[in-house]
Amino acid sequence: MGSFNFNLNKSNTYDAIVIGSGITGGWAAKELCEKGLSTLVLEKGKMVDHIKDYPNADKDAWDDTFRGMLSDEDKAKQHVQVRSGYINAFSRNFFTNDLENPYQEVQRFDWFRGNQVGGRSITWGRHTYRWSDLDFEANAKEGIAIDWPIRYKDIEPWYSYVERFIGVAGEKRNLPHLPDGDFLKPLEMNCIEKHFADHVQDGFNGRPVMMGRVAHLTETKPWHAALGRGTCQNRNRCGRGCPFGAYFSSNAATLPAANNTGKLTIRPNSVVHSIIMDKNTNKAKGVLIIDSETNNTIEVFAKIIFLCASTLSSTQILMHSKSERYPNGLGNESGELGHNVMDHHHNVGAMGSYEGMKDSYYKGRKPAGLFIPKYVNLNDQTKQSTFKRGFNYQGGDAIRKSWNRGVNEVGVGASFKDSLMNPGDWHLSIMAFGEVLPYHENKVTLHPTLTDKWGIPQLVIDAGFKDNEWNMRKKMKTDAQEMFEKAGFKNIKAFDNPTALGNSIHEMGTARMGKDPKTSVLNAHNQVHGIPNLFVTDGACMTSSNSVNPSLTYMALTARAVDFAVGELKKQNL
Amino acid sequence: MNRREYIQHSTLFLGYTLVSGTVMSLLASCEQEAKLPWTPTFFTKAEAATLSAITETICPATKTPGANDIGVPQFIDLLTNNLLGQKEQAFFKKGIEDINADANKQFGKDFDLCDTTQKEQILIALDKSSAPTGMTMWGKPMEENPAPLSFYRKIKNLTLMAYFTSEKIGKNYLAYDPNPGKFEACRPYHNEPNWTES
Repeated sequence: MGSFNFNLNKSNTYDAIVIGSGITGGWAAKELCEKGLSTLVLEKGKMVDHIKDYPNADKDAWDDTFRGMLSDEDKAKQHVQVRSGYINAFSRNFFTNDLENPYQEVQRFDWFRGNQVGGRSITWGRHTYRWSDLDFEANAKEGIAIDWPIRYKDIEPWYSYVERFIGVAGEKRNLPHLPDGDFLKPLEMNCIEKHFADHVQDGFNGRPVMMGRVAHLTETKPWHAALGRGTCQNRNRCGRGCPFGAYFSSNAATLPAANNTGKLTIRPNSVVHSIIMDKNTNKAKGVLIIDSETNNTIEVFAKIIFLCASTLSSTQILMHSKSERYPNGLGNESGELGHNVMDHHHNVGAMGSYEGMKDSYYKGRKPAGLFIPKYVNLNDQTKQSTFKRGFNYQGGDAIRKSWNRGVNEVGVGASFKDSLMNPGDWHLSIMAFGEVLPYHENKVTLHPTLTDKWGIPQLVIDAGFKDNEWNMRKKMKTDAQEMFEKAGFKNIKAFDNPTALGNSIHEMGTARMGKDPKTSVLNAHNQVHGIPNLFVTDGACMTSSNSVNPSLTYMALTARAVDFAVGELKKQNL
Repeated sequence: MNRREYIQHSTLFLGYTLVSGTVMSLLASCEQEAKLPWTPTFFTKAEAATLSAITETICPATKTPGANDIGVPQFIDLLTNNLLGQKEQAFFKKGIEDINADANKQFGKDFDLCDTTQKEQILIALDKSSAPTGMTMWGKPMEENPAPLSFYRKIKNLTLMAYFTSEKIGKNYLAYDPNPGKFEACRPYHNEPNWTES
């Protein structure tokens, strides 16, 4: 892999600028570079070189003095990030410092950020699911918010295009509401997962239970191997960065692919202040950045700008790019910029133990669990009276319990300790992820006086769940319990700890796509209404949330938008 | 093994260790004050001796090493010093003091001077009276308002964690396989140890 070019050219001028290097920024960079455009990627955080900058990838628990536990002082530095549950001494380097990146919560909102090259593509959950027209048509059919300006047929070829490149392990199930993709061979269920899946399918009228469709290489195609990517080694240390490049990240795949074209310049430590507008043409002409190491401000210029800074950061940049012409920020003619914050709602489900199959075990740590696709509100037969839309379940542990079962068992002493050396009962947990409706009043704004250390106004987040989500959660919980009962589990415990918006780390909305500039920020090609060379393709663009993990859709929309943008550029429409 | 079987096993074990436990406590009574074989960073020597006795009661040396062989009390002492805030540090000191007070009330001597049966009796009672740790999934609590944990539940958690995630146990007594390569979804189980956690 060639090393990256970090230095600006003499004129600070490129064909294209991409703001952000996460899952969508990486895709925008790859597509723009491969179409022959000289491209500058701006990243707020530090450089993370694939493999070289994964310092904890090969560490065992004992390689950290406190086995990954953090001090109260360290937790205070990441007081929001710790709400994710994912922060320990081995993973915290890929989560932001909350003290240096403050925001205001009117209602609790968990904003998890990865300010580094690769962004949260290093730490993402890797589940990848297509949307269907059931999802794209839902707003229009139910009269909620506004209609999506696209349908499944518009995005379908881009789903395939993205899936092939990233590599998705998945099983085809021929479900109209969860379309099959271009899959590598699926992950395999272990004994307890098979047992659960069989009983749920038999006991609930064929309700499908499958292995999660995840962006992991279970086999290596030539285009994966060409980037140095290999197959999953079943280590389950994914969030620390994968030295095998087995799961998809910007660092392992899109940025190296972009770099291979010789067209890429990447500039870490570049805090975006605002988008620079050309008053005469009413186009975006560049970006004003602050070098976080020198505090110098620099202007960089391009014909096309892709805003991929992550949902809320992209909106923050648009809001902060104020001028006489745009007193309320760019793309805010509709007044919708910052509104309709969504996420998913989760942390509800059930777990249980199974006393049989003591003669079976497994080898290796699979990187993902089960997936139970949405099965409510698909049609008249499955229509719910108390809530709209639906939810899916994702499996957590599917294991034989390890030593930590001993913490709550009554017992001390020799036989107790010795018993903990061996696996205990089988244990399975599943958690539901539900759709959150787009509510105008769930919003972000810029604080009138509070800023961060670069003088950029802090984001104020005021968003919460409403009745549709609360009603849905009741069914998410009871259905989970019923499935465990049907599958003969013992010690079944259903749980519901709603936490807050943001906690699913699927935050989206605030610069939604739509057909009408009066009610939306972006058009069907992710172009900012009225500013044809400015595109927003991260989660900010979403018009509704569905219940599945959104990254695949973001990536497909990004590749599609680049294809459109470069076509328009060639036609001299930009 | 279910909970009832565990208790049965523990009961059997109590009879078996009575003799060696008594011998150990006699030895301990001679040596304890004079030489704790390590210097605590946070706890007093007396507190550290109690702590050592608690961790060794939970995880005694058998055919596999005990908590003290692994340095579990040293780990907890350093962790209390380096990671915990003042309030939690005070809670840990109070917890040790309470267990000692319990031992004095029941058996007329400090916890570390009790014999194994007495020590186990004290800790098992705390096991029964202490709330369990709340459910978690993906590292997050799944109960909205989990009950606050007792000192005992915390120390038991730390003891087992420090013991089973140690290099000695992880590499030599559990099944160490940091790079499994292939995933075998279902394979026959023949009483081999747990996989070392990644």
